[in-house]
Parts: sequence; structure tokens; C-alpha cells
Amino acid sequence: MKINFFKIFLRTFFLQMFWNYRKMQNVGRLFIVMPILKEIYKDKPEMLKKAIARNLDAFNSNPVMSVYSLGAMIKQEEKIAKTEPLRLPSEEREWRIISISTANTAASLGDRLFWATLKPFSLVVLILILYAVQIHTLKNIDTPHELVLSATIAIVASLLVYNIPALIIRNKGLKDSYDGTEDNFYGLININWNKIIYILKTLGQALTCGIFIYSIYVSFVGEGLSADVITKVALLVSFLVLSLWTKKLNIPNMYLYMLATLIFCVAAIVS
Amino acid sequence: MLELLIACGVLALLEMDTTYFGQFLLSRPTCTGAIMGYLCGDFFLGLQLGVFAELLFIDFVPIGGVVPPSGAICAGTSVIISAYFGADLYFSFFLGLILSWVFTWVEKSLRRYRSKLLPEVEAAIIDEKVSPFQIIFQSFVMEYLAVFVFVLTATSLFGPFLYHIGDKIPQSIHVAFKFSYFLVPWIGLSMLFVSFSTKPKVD
Repeated sequence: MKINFFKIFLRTFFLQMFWNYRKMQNVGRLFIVMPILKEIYKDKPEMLKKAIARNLDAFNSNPVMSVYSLGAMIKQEEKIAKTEPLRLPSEEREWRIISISTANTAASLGDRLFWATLKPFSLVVLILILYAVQIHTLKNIDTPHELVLSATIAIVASLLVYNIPALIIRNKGLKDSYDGTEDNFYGLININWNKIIYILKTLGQALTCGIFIYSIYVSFVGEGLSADVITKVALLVSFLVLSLWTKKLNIPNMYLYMLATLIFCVAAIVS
Repeated sequence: MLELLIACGVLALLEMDTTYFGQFLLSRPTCTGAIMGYLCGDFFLGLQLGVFAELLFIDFVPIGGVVPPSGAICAGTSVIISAYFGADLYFSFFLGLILSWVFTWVEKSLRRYRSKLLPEVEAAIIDEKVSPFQIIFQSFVMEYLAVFVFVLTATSLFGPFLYHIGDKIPQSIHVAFKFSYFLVPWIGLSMLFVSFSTKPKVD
């Protein structure tokens, strides 16, 4: 059967549209595969009903990497359609195994690659470009209006850093998993994800160090050694240490900022 | 008023990118902040609030159905409150954070509501009384309206309030908020550095 991958690719953007606590992305998944199911079972309305019910099973994966699960499930669906009635239960069981194993692995890889690596990496790219065009947004907001275009380019560049790999993987992953087998885990192990994550994280750490040093330079060099600057630096260092410590305790930085505000307010009232 | 409605409408649309449609990162606080800043007449104020919000929210990862506070809501509402209503930047940022946290309750309620609807929806789809597209479309409209109403209510209630009480707040409290606002990028950069750690996490 000739699969219209582009149609499926477009529909993957709606995967999470009916997200719910019972079966998570199940309706979204059905929406994605529905045209294929209609095509596969066009002369078998009873089997179509069963396939729809099957695709409404619980499903949860990373929105981008879920394509590695979808392609493999479509392939297995084609296999089910051609299977003789006696072998049907075992093929349906196989479909469920593929669905669970690929979705879980893709979720784990996708969350690490996209949410925990590429997203912060693209922020680093944004801040670097802003610094490169002399927009010191971390320090002040008094920037000449002519620089709006440069800032917009920086934002677009950071979006591209995230979206180009995401779009390539959505497209390639769908085909790879459709053509894949158990031996290459439905295309999931065609790419060395851990190596990519490691390289991006190491590069991200180095670039963040650079941003940190340059930010200190922009914020404090040339300010002189006044009591105000010394107080700022002392408090800054204490909160940086505190921030690393709260990270170990899994306390989000948002709460650290709120705590800082509370401490300063109490100090202001007391003094 | 029309400007506010447009800003809230765009913010609600951008927020949809967080979970429901696309995940193109248009809802990242930096992007949302800059767009809202442009719409409210102060692009660089929006950009700064967006970058600060993103640095603070970088350690929230939406895995496994967890609903973290929305960075888009934080950046968007704080820009509207600051640039449109004229409240102080550091107060509006703090309020934006609280609103993003309150918004998780709205989001969880919508997810719970959809969970309740699910058996009915599934039966209707299987019986071909309704198509998955119709369900998806209705879900999109419902989510969009909920976000829009939340954003509009929150900003039109707290924006004027924060602007009017700004002058009445003691100067020392202004200094305290200003100072903690100054700390945000530094706390955020340290978190950004840690987020790139290649060491396996041990809980």
C-alpha cells in the first residue's frame, strides 16, 4: 500500500490535542492514523471498528519522537489487515507490544533530546546572538529601536535551531519506523542519540560559561568598587551557590526567586 | 481595549503551542515575550521579561503528563501588565510567575474534564457518530477560549490594580523587588549551566 507520509506528518502536530489523564494522547493518535485505517480497511467495516478501538488505547510519547512509534504501528496495522482470522489475536497482541515499547523508548529519548537539551541549547544561541549584536537584554531594556530587527533575527535563529532537527526527525522518523524491523528497533537505533545529546550538552555548557563570563563583564566591569557593587556581587554569589544547592534538592529556580523576593521584602521591612 | 483583546487573543494562541498544537516553541517565553512586547508597544521590555522567564522556567520539563507552570503565560501576562497597564516591571514579573502557577490549575481542570468526557467520546468515534477531527477541533476551541478568558480576566483585574498601588507601596519594597529581579538572570544562567550536565541524575 502506498502511504501518504506527508499527510501523516502534518497530522502529527495535533497529537496532544485531546490530552487527558485516562489515556493521554489516544484521540490524537487516532486522528493521525485515521486516513490510513480507512484506506487499509476500506472493504472491512467490522475490522475498521476494531482498529479504531485498538488505536484508542492509552498512548503517551514525546510529541516529536512519537513518529517512531506511529510508523511501526501503521506497518503492523497493514499486517493485521492481511492476516487470516486465526492468527488475528497474536498480530493484535504484537501491535500492542510495538505500541508500548516504541512509545516509551521514543518518549525517553525525545524528552532528553528536545526538552532537556535542544530547548536550552536554542536559548543559549539566542542569548549569544543578542550579545553579538550588542543587545544586553540581561542587563537593561534601553535598547535602540533600530535593533528590533536584529533581535527578531536572533529569536528566529533560536527557533530554527530547535525546529529544523525537530522537523527532520518527524519526517525521517516516520519513514524509518515504517520501514524498520525489530532488529533496528523500528528505526530508533539508526541514529546514535546519546552521542548527539552528549555533544550538544557539552557545547551548551561551554557556551553558557562564555555567556556567564561576558555577562559579568557587561554588568560589573567599569562600575568601580562601590559598596553597592560589592553588596550586589556578594548577594549574587550567595544566590548562585544556593541555586546549585536547591537544584540538588530538585527545587525549581522559580521558587528560589520567590524566596529571594520574600527575604529582601522582610529585610526591607525590618530595616 | 481592542489592543488588550488582540494581545490576549494572540497570547492564548501562542499558549496552544505549549501542548496542543505544533510545539514549534513559539510559546517559549522569549518568543511570547517579544511578540507581546511588540503588540503592547515595548519590544525590548517584552524581550527581557521573556528571556528572564525562560531562564527561570528552564528546569521545568513537561514529561509524562506533568503540567508545569506555563512560561508563555508568565511572560505574556507580565508584558501586558507592564507595557499595557504601566505597572512596574519587577512587580509584573512576580505577578506573572504567580499567574503561571495558577494557570496550572486551569490546565489540570481541563485535562480532568476531558478525562471524564473520554468514554463518551470514544463510544461516539467507534460508532462513527463523530470524527476524530471534530473532537480535535472542539477541544482546540474549548482550550483556546479557556486560556483567553483566563488571560483577559487576570490581566484586566491585576494590571490596573498593580499600576494604582505601585505608588502606595513603600520605596523599600520597590528596592527589594528590584533587587530580586536583578538576580533572575544569574540564577537562571546557573540553572542553564546545570541543565547541560552530562552526569546521570541520581535521585
